[in-house]
Amino acid sequence: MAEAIAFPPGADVAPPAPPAPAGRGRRRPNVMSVIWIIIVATFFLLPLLGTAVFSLWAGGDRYNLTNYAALVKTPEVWASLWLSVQLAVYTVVISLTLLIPTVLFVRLRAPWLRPVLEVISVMPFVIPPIALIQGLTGLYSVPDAPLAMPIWFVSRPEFMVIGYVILSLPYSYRALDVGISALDVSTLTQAALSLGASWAQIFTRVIIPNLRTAILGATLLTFAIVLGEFVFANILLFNTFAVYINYIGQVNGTEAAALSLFSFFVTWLGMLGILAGGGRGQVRTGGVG
Amino acid sequence: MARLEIRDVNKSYGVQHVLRDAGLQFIEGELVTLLGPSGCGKTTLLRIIAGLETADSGAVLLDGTDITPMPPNKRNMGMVFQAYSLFPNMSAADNVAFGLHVRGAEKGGRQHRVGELLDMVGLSAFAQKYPHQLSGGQQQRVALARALAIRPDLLLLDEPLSALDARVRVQLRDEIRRIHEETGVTTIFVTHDQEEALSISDRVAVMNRGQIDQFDSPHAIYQRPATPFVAGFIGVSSCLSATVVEAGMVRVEAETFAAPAARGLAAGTAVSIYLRPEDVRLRATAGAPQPTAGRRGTVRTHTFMGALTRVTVRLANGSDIFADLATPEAGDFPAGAEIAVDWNADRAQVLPAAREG
Repeated sequence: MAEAIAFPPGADVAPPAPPAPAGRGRRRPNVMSVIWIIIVATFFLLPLLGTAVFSLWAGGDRYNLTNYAALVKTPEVWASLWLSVQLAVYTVVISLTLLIPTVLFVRLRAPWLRPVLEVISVMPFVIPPIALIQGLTGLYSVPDAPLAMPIWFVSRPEFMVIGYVILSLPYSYRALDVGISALDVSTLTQAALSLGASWAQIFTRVIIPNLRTAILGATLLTFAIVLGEFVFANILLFNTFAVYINYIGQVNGTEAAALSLFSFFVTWLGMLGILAGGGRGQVRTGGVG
Repeated sequence: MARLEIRDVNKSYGVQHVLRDAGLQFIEGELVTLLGPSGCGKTTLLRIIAGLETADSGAVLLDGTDITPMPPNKRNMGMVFQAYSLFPNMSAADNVAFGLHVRGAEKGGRQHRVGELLDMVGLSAFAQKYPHQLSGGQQQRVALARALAIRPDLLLLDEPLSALDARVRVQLRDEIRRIHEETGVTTIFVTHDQEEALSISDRVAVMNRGQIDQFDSPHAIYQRPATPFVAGFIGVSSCLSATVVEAGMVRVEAETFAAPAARGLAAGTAVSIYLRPEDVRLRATAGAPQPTAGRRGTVRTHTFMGALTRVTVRLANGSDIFADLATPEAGDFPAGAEIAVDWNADRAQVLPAAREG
């Protein structure tokens, strides 16, 4: 049996981390950099600030939370938000179920297909959503068409999930592809195989845990896209969150501003959650020394 | 421990024939190195043994059983890769336990085995560290422990030291040898570094363009290379073109020398004489009888190697010959000096003058 053998001390032990730079030793930020950051921050934050101020306006010179209180009491807000969240969850599940095995397969077994996948993934950028939904509707809902789906399905909001999966493809694919690129998937898979792991064990114990951050990123981006998507639902006459924001905007500008800001913060909270949770579980590759 | 046999394995990638009728038989418990230059097929052969590549023809037999069609996860072979292959989401201990876990080993036995293996590679204190917190050498040690944890029939090492710096490489090389002696597991080590191969192997298979040129002990490989490729690839040799004139005698230019290794070759056969630098001696000509033309030369360069200095001598016929001398002695033969060259005829290797490769 193996016997404990002491190694020469300090042989290839990781060297201690270099000391953190002292406060006085830090480089002072360049003035031009600071000015440029202020300009960019102003560009992004000013509209938000304007929206926030407008959302608090209650007529005359009165500013309070009336618009937000009215929103909370409106059942249509919650119904539309719940519908959008449901559709987002379905989209995320279908996207990840389709994409993770596909990206892995292409990476491990068919790398020559990667350019094809890249082109497919950017197609939604060149096909306008209005053309996409018209095409999908024509393809799936015309009676007796080769790919016609049951009327009970095409008449439900869940039908839009097909379009949402396509619409979110550039973002979900890119997030997963970047995550997989950061790993040596091929070597990890072969190492696991040589240790006796089945493909299911490799997938659940090696691949997925190491792609957690990429999966969270893809989830967030898909979620944000579905939550803000307007064209599909408006054309197919479903009352999603984005459609409701548009409706409120036509009848009550200040409430619409409050609702926009609310949806913005929902997305931001999700992102912060991912940064906090995903960052803690961030899988790091490489080594020291 | 297991007995492995490779039988006439062929592998091509498109028009590139990577392995040509490769055949080897391994003895139980030995450490064999597949040695050769980049692209010679050594890693492909190892991956075929592991089941990560499929051979176009031929067979891999383990203890007499043909395992050629068996998937890699059923072969019970531990493998260490050239690239760092630890699972980034698992600690060192979890990495080592992985193979046992997927085999359904019970927790107590698993923990005991993990402790035993981490102890063996000297990393008990690093059990809870993640791969990114370990140096390259430590990662490869954990990978070695992980491969051994499953008590493999074969341990396959695919250039595990090539990504490490020189000092760690030498240290880990010695550790691999020690661990092999402790565990007794039949081990196949792939490398392009001849020093690594000669220092740790029981036997070395020198590969060239998909074929096994020689499969023998490190001493035999070094002292009795079987082909011009092996003679040129292993160590440093000076090569002189010669012709066999009679049994045990060869002619270089117009001079005849004794070469016992030429016995059995027909007179008139064109041969190459390979001389190791440590078998070549230099002698000052001043005040001594003039050497014959075939042994006369001029010192060209000195290469300092510490205790030894390699002296390059240009012979009268234009060929270069190397002599390794003790560094103080090399000072007696400055560059440009006219000297006489002699060598140990018993140790000169004579091979047919075929082109390399």
